Amino acid sequence: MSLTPLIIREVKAFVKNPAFIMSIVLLFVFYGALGRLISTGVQTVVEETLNVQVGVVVEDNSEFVNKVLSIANETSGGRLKLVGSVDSGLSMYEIVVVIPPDFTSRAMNLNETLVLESYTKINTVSPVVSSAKTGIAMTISELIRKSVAFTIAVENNIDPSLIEKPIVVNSTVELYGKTMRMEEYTAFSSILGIIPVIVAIIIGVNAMYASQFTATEKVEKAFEMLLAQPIPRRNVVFAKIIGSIVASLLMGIAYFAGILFMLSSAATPSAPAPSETSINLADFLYQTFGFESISISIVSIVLGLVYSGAIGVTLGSIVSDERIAGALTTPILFVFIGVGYALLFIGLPINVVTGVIAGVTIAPLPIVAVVSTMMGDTTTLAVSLLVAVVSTLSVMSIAVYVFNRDIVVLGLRIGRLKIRERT
Amino acid sequence: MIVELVLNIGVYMPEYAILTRNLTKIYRGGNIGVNSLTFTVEEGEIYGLIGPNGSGKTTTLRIIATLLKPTRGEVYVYGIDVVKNPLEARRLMNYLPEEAGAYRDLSGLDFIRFMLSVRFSGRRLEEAVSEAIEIADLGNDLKRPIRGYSKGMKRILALSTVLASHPKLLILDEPTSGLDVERSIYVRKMIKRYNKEFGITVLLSSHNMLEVEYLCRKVGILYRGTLLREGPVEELKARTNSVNLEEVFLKIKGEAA
Repeated sequence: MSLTPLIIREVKAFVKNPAFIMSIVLLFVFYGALGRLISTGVQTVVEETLNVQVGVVVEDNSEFVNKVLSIANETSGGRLKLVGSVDSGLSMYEIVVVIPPDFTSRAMNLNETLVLESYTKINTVSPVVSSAKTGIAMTISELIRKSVAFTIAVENNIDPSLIEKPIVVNSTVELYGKTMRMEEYTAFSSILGIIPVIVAIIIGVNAMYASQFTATEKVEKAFEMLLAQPIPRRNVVFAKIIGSIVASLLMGIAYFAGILFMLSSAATPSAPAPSETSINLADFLYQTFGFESISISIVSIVLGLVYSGAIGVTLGSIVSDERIAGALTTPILFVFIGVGYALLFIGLPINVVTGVIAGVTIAPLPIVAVVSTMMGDTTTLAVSLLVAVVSTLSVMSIAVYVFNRDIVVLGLRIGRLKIRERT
Repeated sequence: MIVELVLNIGVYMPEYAILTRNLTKIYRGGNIGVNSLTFTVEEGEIYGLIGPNGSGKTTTLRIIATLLKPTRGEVYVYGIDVVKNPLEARRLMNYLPEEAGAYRDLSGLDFIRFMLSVRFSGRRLEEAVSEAIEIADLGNDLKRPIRGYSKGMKRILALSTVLASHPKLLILDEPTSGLDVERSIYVRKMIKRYNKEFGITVLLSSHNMLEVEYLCRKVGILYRGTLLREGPVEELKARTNSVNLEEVFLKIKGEAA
């Protein structure tokens, strides 16, 4: 019986908290708008991809191959186009399939497996688009396999469903001009996909720490005493930002150390040896991303920490307690994750405009850094970094400005709702 | 007379520890914190601001302590404009807010050292720390985290840091608020001692009229943001034919209402 009023009080404390309501409204509006934007972007790129034509390089000029390709082309609605080489094919089409010289002999020998090579050109970070393209390459390969079975069946006057002809497709991806095997690309895109989340979590957690520390100081009633000391307010702000960064880094190190410990504990001596096709992730990342990209990504994270620290300190300084600080900064985490993913899923090209967006929002900055480095687009890279530095300095300036205003003592008031009671 | 002359000719006399001229603070929404407040505090004086809740005492103290900016008017601390040169002004003064607390995770000793390290370094810091330890008089409790302290202990701890910093001007907002009788007496004695021994000027606010009468030579009576009357305590008592400051306050407030 006595539990009910306690629960009602706790729930009411949150529901009647203006910061909590603002957070919900903000998230609802933000993700609603983001969803519409992503939906439109994804729909457009998928439609474009589905109508794509496929180049075919024939290295086995047999009558059998001609028949197979004829059937496959007819079945695909005329999407197969003969090209002279992989390079010329990729300059015209985004997907090229190669029929190797031993294709006919493998097709005729029942014990042999069909082998094809596919090349997919991907100039986007969108996992939706790249999945669609690699999916099309696999669909065409499957179509060729079925066409082989059909041709053999017709020539031997048997039922095509009785012919089991397995196929192996050696897929290669050309990402922003850099050639990599499919498994390498899969690893690359997986990492690229989690980068904005990792950065957003680091930024969001840091913002929370900064706001909580600042709000706690106000609750402890030591804040006004500190502000009355002969120290520039900007020093107070910088100290709080650096403090939150140190706390976030310690938490991050502990987190990654914990993950490594978990992985090492989970490993068993009888684990199978790595296969020939397995890849050394660290070496691969270093070779693919390059020292420059990795360095810029680290710089991005540092900028993001300062940026989010300044946001957190600002929010923490204008609220009255940790609860409101938490309610206000939690959405920041989701907003950063949303922005990071938006750049990925909308499939925006990496250019100066997206560089500016990434610079302002920080979370997608490592993606822009990685891709623009791969493309050799130093302008986009420089612009995004410059904008990120300017954004960070701007947010810090706002924090210092707030610390020099009455609001830091009186608290923020929105309309008639008081976030902090005036003394 | 001198004040009026100074204000009229617009020249600041540096012997005033505090000079406010037409000090006005209007909060967002139109609430008036203080309205055209003009008063002076002489060097070495203990000046008390008295008034009911919401009369503008804390607002006045916060403006002088550079925590709030006035909407209009001027404030000088030892000749320094606190709005234009807040950092310079803060070097001359220290402020104890109402219900001032301390960092929960620090020990009392660490808190003292931190608060004093923003003003002093080296040997001077060590001397100030020793002095604050003596003022706080918390014994071995100083080594414990502040989260275990009572309200009175926290208040004494905070007061020890502001006294040991030896500011030229000490601003105290309700210095004995929430303290028991013994601690209140101790705090009053310390304020008087530091004023006498080190010539520290004190501006304080209080609801406790007996306390103000004991500590202050001069008082200002605030009501709804306006300074109704100011002057030496004895003079105000004589003028209003009152036996104590409480009666003075009630009579002057009655006239204003």
